[in-house]
Amino acid sequence: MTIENHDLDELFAVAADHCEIPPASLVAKILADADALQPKPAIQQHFAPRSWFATLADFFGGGLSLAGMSVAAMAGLYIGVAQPTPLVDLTNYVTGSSQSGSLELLPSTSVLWAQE
Amino acid sequence: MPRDTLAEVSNDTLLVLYANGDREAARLLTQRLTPRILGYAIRLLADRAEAEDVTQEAMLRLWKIAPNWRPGEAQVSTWIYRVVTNLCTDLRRARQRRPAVTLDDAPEVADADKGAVAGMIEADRMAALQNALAQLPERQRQAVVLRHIEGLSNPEIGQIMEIGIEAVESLTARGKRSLTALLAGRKQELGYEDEEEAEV
Repeated sequence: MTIENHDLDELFAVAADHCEIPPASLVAKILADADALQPKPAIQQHFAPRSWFATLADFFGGGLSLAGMSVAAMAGLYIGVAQPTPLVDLTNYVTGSSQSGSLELLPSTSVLWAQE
Repeated sequence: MPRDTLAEVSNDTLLVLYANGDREAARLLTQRLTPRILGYAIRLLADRAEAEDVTQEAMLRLWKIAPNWRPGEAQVSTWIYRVVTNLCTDLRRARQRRPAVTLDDAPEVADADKGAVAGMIEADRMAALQNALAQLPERQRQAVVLRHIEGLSNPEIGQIMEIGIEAVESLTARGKRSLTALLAGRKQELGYEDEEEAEV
């Protein structure tokens, strides 16, 4: 009256057919763990389109640099157009010339009118 | 991803989907793996509460490894069986020898469609099997349960137990012989005699 091999196989088959149903509390704990450990997608940062002025300022090293360069450019233009007397005297002193008049790079408009 | 679409997807893919933020993948993996590893842990530990703790811990480790999981390198089921095997081994080593299992520790197998007597016989048989399994040496028990109850192949068992195929075959053969010896003399008690007589 010993257990035969086929009896044992039958025991195994019954055990294999049995599906262990996990209790709801265990499933809930497992899913809570899954939720807590699930990698979250990276937060996407939305950048507003940059204005051309901001891009230009960045190119020259920031807004302050751009402002300084603008002032220098305006000053240069003023000096070039107005040719203040002290500056002309200084130029003559440095270059050793005695020219006191201004140099006309463009012909006067009156000349253009006269030609018509 | 919709549940219907995921039903056919492999465990490997589900784990990658979980790592990519798909919550349904976690639910489906739990549904697929938990009954198997809980049953396996109960057979190894003969203690349902401890088996549930081991199951939760094994699934926790699965969630943790998900971002680094490389599909195709290993099977999720083989990996988790190995985790459960190791956790059960650690647990058994950490605690004192447990008292012998009782009928209450055996998995409930009563089927509503079967008669009450047949259900009791089946419950008795499962309890006897569980008792006999509990008396096997640990490695034999693991090999026998994985081969004959979980239905895994010898190469899979080798991966889980981190041994060669010959060693698996040896462990299962010795385990089966030991079970036969442990259950010897209980044939009538387990209802086999009655069935044979009934057939005649």
